[in-house]
Amino acid sequence: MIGQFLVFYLVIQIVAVAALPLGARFFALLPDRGYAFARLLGILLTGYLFWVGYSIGLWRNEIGGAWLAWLLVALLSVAAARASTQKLLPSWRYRLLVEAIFGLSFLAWAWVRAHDPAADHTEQPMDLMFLNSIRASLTYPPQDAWLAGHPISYYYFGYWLMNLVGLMGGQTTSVTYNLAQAAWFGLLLSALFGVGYNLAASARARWATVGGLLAMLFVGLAANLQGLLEWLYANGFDVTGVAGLFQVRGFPENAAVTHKWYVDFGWWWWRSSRVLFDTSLQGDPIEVIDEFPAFSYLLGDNHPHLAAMPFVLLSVAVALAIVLSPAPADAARQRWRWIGVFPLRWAGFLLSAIICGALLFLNTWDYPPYWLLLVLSVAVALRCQQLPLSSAVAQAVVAGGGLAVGGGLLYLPYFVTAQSQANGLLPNLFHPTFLGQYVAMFGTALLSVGVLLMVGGSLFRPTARMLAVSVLAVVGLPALFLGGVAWVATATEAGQQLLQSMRLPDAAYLSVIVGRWGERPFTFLTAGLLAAAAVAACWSGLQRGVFAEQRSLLFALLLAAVGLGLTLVPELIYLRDNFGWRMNTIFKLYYQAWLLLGVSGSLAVVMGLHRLFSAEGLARWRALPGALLSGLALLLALASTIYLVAGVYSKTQGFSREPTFDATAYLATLAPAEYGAVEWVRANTLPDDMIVEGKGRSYGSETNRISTMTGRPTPLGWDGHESQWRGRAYGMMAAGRPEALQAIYGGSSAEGVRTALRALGANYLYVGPAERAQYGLTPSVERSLFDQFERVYPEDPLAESDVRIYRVR
Amino acid sequence: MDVRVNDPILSLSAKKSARAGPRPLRVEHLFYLAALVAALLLRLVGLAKDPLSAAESSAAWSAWLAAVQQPVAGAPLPSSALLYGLHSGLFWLFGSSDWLARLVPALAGAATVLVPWFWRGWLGRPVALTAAVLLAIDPWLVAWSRRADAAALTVLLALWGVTALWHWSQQDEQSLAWERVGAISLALLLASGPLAWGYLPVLLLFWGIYVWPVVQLRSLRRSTWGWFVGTLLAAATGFALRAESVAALGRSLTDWFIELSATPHANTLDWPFLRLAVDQPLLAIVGLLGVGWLWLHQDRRLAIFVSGWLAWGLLLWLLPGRTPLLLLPAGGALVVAAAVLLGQGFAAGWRAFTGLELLTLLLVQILLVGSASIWLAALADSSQFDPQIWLTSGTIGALALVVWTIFGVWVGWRATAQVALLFYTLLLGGWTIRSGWLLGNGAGAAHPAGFWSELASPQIHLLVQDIERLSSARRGDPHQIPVQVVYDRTPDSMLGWSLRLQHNLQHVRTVDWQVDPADVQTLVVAPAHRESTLQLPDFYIGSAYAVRERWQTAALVFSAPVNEEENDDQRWRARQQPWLRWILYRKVNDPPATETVTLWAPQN
Repeated sequence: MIGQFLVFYLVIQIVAVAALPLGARFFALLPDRGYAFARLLGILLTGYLFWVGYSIGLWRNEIGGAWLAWLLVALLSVAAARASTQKLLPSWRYRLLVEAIFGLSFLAWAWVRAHDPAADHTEQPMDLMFLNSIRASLTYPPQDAWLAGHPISYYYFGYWLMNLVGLMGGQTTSVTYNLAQAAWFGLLLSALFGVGYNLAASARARWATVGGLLAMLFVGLAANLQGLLEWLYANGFDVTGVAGLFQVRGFPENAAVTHKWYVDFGWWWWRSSRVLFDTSLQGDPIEVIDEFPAFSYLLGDNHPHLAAMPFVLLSVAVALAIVLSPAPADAARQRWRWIGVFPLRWAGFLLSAIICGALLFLNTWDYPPYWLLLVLSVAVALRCQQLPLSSAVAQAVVAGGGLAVGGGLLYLPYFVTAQSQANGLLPNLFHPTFLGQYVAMFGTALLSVGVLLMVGGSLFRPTARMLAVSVLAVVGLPALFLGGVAWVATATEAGQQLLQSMRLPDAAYLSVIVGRWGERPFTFLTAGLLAAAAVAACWSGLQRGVFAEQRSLLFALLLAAVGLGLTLVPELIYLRDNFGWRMNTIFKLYYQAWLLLGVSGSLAVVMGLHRLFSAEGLARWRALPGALLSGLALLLALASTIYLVAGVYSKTQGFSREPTFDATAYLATLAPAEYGAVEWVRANTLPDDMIVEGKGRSYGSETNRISTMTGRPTPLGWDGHESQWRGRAYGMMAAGRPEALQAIYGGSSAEGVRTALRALGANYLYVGPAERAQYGLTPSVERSLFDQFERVYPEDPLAESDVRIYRVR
Repeated sequence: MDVRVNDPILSLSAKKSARAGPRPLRVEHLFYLAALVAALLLRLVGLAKDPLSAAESSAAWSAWLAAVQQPVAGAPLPSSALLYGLHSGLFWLFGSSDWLARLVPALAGAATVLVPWFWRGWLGRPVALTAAVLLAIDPWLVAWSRRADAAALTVLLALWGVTALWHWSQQDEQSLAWERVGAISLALLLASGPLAWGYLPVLLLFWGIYVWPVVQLRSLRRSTWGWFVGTLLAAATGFALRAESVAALGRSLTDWFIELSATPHANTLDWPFLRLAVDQPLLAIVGLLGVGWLWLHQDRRLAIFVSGWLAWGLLLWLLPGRTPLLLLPAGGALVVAAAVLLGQGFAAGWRAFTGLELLTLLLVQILLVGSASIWLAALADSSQFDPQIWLTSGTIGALALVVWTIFGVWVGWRATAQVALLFYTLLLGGWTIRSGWLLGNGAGAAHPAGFWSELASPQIHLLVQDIERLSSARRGDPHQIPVQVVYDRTPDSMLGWSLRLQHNLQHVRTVDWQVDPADVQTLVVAPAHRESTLQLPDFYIGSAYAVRERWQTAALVFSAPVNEEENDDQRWRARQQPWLRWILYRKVNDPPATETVTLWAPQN
């Protein structure tokens, strides 16, 4: 186990070293010269080149191809370093600090995962299936093990990158599952430290290291306020009053006072990811997800939003490097000024397109906000180079177009096989968010945003006109939009037809809309007004001109504006998907808002506290409100880390399990015969052999164990999830398969079974407890149906087992 | 500082050679020619005697399929783009055969002997010549050169790369040419297969020691990059723009990692050292002494380079893979070290004693070693351990040492050391040549060399002949009868290669295999363990053929379980005698395990 950890760590370090010189050149304008991002850059570039080479047939998905891709990155990096005469590395102290943060957080989370290794709940089997599917797909495209014959249709780059590190270290996917998650935790915290440090150091703040640590705290370690309340309540504090303000469903009614520091060994920590809820027109609660990083890691899924997070920070670092870019000497003569703001010019633009474009492939939801951030950063950089604001915006739009087209082309092989459930956008007429729930989610962040606006406002002093225009644009226009949509929906025939599906008894839609928005407009207004204030401060700063050290404050305001904007979006519109409500839209957008507000908040709190300590006389009094708010935000964030600590102890059952990194090891104890079958399949079949299993059930870890744990394709896996990944196309793709499976396991004739298996193109037939239960397969029926085939597992023909594999001929 | 500077004689000869233009034939040329002829003989005699093994068949079959444009689903992929290109070109031009498949590596292995010619300026003439001789007779190189595998090509290109780097580092009027030669060599090396990744650190080390202090990478000419990229593109695409060949670059690295990793057929930790002692006693002794000599008497750069190279090679031995391929890097370092010691030892002169003294001493030693060997052979053949024979044999060996001592006192220690060097070089050199012969030609069912863990059985030829005979009898043509080769996971490359000339050949996976009861023509070749599951019609009859033999030296240890109560004779028969017999004759009591296939033919 220690060896597995060390190999994983060593591979990541080797990958980081290869990218270090390139990163140092690319991020030369950052105070830390990109040192904190070298691992991310190395993993991303190696993974990208490996994937591109794999997609066009330069190499197969094997360890050799992975290391060749690494070699290419190293050569590129050496070439980049050769052209540099600048110092490539930050101070020893900083390097040691970053290494310690990465190493210790990786180690700590590896320890946690070792005590909670099983991939057996929620959507963990799905993540494991993707890892195994990718590992089993030696050639492009990676096959979907839960829909034999079709490629994966999901943003799978995160799984690809995790597989890359595991493959380079010669680790199995089961071990990779847990160690990659631990490594990603280390990558997240070290990247957060890097972003926070660079923001604060660029602002010439003396507490740059504190800025880095605060970014780690606000984004990676803190929980929402409900998490804190949950712990306080369990330990006997009466928080019912506050809980009533927050209106969190099931709290504290479903919580227990345990007087234990870790609350209990149940899933009490789950409620923090369901702080928000919507209400249907019939009055029923509708589930809405509002995860945050501490929850995601506690849950232990390796989902795309978790995998993408460190790389999102890489995009933020690129944006910051752009904002900090100085005007080139020959700026005035350059026709395409926008290319000059990218470090390394065209090469840097290409690298930026790879980094930002990766978000399309990592977690598509993340692309728009960070693409927007990059475009805004280009505009800010150009404006800081004394270009007129209109020209700066125009050139930024051109750059944004280039980034979008470049990102699309660079990741084209992904789009070739991708399908989606997305089916347009819907206006949010009926579900304005409760302010209390919004505050429970973003309370700490809102405090730090307040500080940021105070500091930004005092420095950039936006005029009343600027504020008014900003409010009109950010709050007024969306309100007008919603009003207009409400009118169209209720006053026109087409609109009313659309609303028929809502099934309101008396069809009084307008009164419901007005009633609900009249009752709770405050989230919309709060997020809108704060965002408008941030926009106005930015505008003013750009109008007046900013000093070099003020650019990072401007950048933090941009982050806050985009972050607040992301929380504003689900108040107005949401994605029309298979669920039909705001669940995913809120989940995905709030997640990024958490990150952006946390990062900007780190600078705000540093500045808020620093101003108090550095000011004298009256200025100190003026700095007091900001410092108080900063202190409160810091206090809340620190206090809420108890959620993660207690949650870890609770989830690992007090670290009582035998430690291992193998995500499938649990099966050896739980169902040894099935585990034996998994091992037999791994050892004796080809990666693309189709192994027929019974139809899967979403979230059912007892179904599709063979395909999940080996990556061998099966006709039908978790069909609910498949449908989410593929949208309408799924129906056609899976047509006839449930019937074929019924004919195989629940059939009445051996001939029928043979025909169905042939039609599917199956190589093996699996019969396990799930199949027996699902299709009511009795031993005598099984004999009559399947005795025509050679039984290959158990290998001993005399061995009796309720798990069998037949070779289909 | 180089060897030639340290030694006035070598220095003179090296300087002369450096100044020399085109010259008439000299004795030195004849020596190299002799080494080349010896190398060719050792590599080419009986080249196609044994059928291609599974690994060789994979390389040859994939190239043949490309040459005849005949894709087979699941067929092996090449891991050496260079060999793939050369093979497919050869097969396309001249047809295919076992001999032709092994020709390119054999020629490459022989050509390796000529590389030291270009080391004369670097190491001095005697050392270079000795290196050439050692490369010619090196059993491991000989074994790899007689195999349809890219390893011999890799060794040639790696040594050629070292040569080019050294000449480039001299920065004389020929440096541009050597710069390009180096670029081409490196490009070809990268495309040459898995072992290339094992030689890259050696080249990197050489670069760091010899080239880096003299020439900066940035001084490379742009055209050199062009040569490098152009050659790499050509080699990686099999010289014929074959897209599928490009993947061999990644595949070779994957295979290199597999070589390093623990597999079910990995050898034991002591295996590489046993091979060194059994196959290369000359290198084991003189090579290691040579490393010490380098540190004591030679320039530091050469000592660091050879030691670093050797350390890398030994590290590869310690990794869990322990395959024959991993023997080569360390072997190369020992060749250079041994060549320095022997070359300088021989060149230092024979002035201190007369021919008669030399002859007398040599005769006495030959007599003593000969008698000791006879006693040892008697011991190996006796059914019980005879301490008398052991004692006699040991006494004779001790007597040889006494004679050396007497001679040392009588004539002088320096002269005695030189004679001893000559004597033991010849003795161990002879043993080395014999080992090379046993590896290349002498192995058989009762004489397993234990070098390759798996070999093709000669019976595979019999299988091919029987199929051709049946085809001639039933279809009037030896290659027209329908044949199905059934496989479990991937097509059997050995059968694929051996039966490639059959026009109606099908490779069928067991899960897809079906028999048409009305078909009374098709022959079926299937793994013997599938006999019970194939369900062939009753009119099929089968005959078994061994296709693979598996034997590893670990079988000598593990075949006889340790019994605490066994007496000396039992222990002797169970363990010590098998070891001795295997070391002396490569004879074993239990023949290697075989894997068989069954040829099923419908009765007429």
